[in-house]
Amino acid sequence: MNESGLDGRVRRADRSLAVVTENLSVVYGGFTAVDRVSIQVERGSICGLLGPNGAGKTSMIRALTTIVPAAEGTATIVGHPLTDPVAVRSNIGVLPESNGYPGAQTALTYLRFYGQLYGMDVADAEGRALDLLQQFGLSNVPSRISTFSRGMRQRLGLARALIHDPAVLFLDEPTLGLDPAGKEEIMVELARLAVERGTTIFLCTHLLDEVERICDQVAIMNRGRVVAEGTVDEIINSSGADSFARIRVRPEAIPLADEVLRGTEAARAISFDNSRPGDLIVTIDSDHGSAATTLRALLDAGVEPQAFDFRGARLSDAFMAITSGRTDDIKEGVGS
Amino acid sequence: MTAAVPTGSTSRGFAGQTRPVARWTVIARQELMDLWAGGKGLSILFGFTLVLSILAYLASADAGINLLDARESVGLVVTTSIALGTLGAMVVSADAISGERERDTLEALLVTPVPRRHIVVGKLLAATTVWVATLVVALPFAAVMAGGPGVMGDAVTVLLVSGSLSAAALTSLGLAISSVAMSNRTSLVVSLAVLLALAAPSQLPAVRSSTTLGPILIKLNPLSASLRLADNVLVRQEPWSDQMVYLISPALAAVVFTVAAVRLARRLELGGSR
Amino acid sequence: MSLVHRRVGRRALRETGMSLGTIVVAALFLALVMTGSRPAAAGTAMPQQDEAVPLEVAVVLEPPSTSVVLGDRLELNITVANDGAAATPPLVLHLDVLDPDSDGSVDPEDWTTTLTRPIAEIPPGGSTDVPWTIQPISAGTFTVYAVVVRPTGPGLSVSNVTEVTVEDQRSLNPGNILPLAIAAPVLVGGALALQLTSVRRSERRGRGTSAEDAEGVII
Repeated sequence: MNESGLDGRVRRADRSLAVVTENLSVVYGGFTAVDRVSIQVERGSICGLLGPNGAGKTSMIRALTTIVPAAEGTATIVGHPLTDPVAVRSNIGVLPESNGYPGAQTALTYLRFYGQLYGMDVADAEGRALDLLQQFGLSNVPSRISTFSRGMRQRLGLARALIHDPAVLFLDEPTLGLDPAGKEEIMVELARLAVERGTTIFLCTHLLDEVERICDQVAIMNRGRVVAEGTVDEIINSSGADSFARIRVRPEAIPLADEVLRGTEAARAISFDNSRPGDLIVTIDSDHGSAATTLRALLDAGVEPQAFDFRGARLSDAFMAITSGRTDDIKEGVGS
Repeated sequence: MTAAVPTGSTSRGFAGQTRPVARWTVIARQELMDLWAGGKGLSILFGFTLVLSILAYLASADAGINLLDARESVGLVVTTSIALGTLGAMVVSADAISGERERDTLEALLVTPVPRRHIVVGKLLAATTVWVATLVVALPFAAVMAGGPGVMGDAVTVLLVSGSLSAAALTSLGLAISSVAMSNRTSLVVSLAVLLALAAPSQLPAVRSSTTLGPILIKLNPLSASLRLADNVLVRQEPWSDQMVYLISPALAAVVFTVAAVRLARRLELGGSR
Repeated sequence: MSLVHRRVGRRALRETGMSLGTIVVAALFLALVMTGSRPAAAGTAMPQQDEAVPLEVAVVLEPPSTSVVLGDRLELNITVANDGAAATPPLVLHLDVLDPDSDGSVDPEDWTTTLTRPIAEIPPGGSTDVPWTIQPISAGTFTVYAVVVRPTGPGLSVSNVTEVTVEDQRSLNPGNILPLAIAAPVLVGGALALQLTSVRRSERRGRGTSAEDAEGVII
């Protein structure tokens, strides 16, 4: 994703961009769901689209997948404008958030049908379907889809989205309802797709930890607008989200530790964990020091911590900070 | 998921295909499979066959004791077949798009490169097979009850021409409504309400006895026109040449509603929430 | 009228200002009007005088008893003979059916296309034959009779009764439809049952597979 303005000359020349939008808006009746969004996603990257409920993520995906028309602005998918929906649809795979399945069909029938819709003949579609069923661990399931578990359905949906080996994959909450192991499987598979096949993945999710782990680029939406975009580090750094240190001292040393920490500029706030006597939670002011500063101050004062745990700012902290309105204009400071 | 991304016979080449894919036959085949292998089609056909069998037996019993003329009993079977067969096809088509919308399967279909009109045409063809199936069941009944080649010929012609036109019209109407209705229930209720709105006035005693309004309303409604034609030909033995007027509204409705369904397909929307 | 009533009457007359003379004049006027209208009324009521004359016609329904197979038509004959000295006015012949052994009523309209027929004037000593076809719609023993009435006014003549025995002749296979009427739903229903069975079997199998979660993948 690039914050720089969408120069037409650059867009035409740069074939490394998979998704480009310029002032893209989606309006339902009088309600603006997506408000003049301009983003760029590089080919082969995984872009996480984040935002609270109602932020406009699904509308954004639906506009980019030609399901809903853009009220304003332009967008291209691997060079094809949204005004050429057939070309766009030929190059994208989509797993919607609420994806239903024909319960009476088998997984093979389902995939073969979609293969044919993408122009394959029956033999090709069947071959491709069998490959994908093998890949997603569904090859020995002859029963109807109605008997599938939630996880099996999600895998089948992903296989369907990949039936024509699309250049760009749009996934809206692909791990919704899955157990941790299932989520991990999906994330590993997505990372593999991006690396081995060069598939661009547009991932809309609430799993910030996963996004932090696999996404190359992140865009955070709020009230229809992209309020932050860049790499995970860029987002975290510019969000102003705090780091924390958990320091455990002997209970009798708490008053002294508290006094010492309050005397350092690095400690913005100190709180006590009532469930664990002796634990102090220090909010680090990164502008005036670091966790090491606080540790050193304690040692200098003769307080020996029994345990020390530092947790740097996470994407979830940044997300909360951004979407709660603390950094309304954060986009301007990111990625440029 | 343990296997690597397949790289065999498939390739990014599939995604490179940018011309519209004429896949209405694929849609139609799949819809047919879903309809007839999924149990829905056979359930409708079973209900129809049961009703027709009971009706045909009772009509034949009445004809056997001269309470009904043979032509009257054939007319009863033919008109019932047209009405129920058309209704069955309409119910299936009224579910075709709104049902996908409700079951959350429409979005996956809409993001394929298949033109919207191909989706609608495929579904329309599949729904029409409900009428074809009822026709296949009704024809032997008409043949056995006709008792002669003359009546049988008339019955077969009425079913094939008048019934098929009426079924085509109402199946397309159901699909057009299904395209714009956001829920299955709405689609079904509106389809049946439209049918009722068309048919009900022509059934009112005051309208039926009216020498001007009654015949006009009957001719305007494709279903009542078809039924009247069947009655005129089979029961009243009126010549075919006088019945062409009763084919106008079914034929016109078949064309208009089919075009409407295909044109509405362009604006096929997902509906629902953002 | 009691004394009290007479007094009350007089007081009322006084209070309304009506004299006895006025009442007498009014009574005379009324009497004149009534007697003046009598001749005209008598003139228009001449047929009523005829109506008072008994209807001297004999009605004979034939045959007196008969039997018929359900569904067949039955030919009846009704003879209306004028036994009087004057010609009859135009008459109406009505046929009725009843089931004397049952509480259930019989609707004669189901048996015949028309329930009444007009009969022209019959000269003295003359007679008219009216053939009447009926088609019973249910089995049993029924009573059929005919009635002759004037179009308006009283007076009627009733025929003898004809006992009609209707034999049931229901066929189990009317018009050879039974094999088809059984085979068609059996075939379609059988196909549906097979389909549903196969679906259930597939779902049972599928539930087993889902429980194992195919190929050991845990999602």
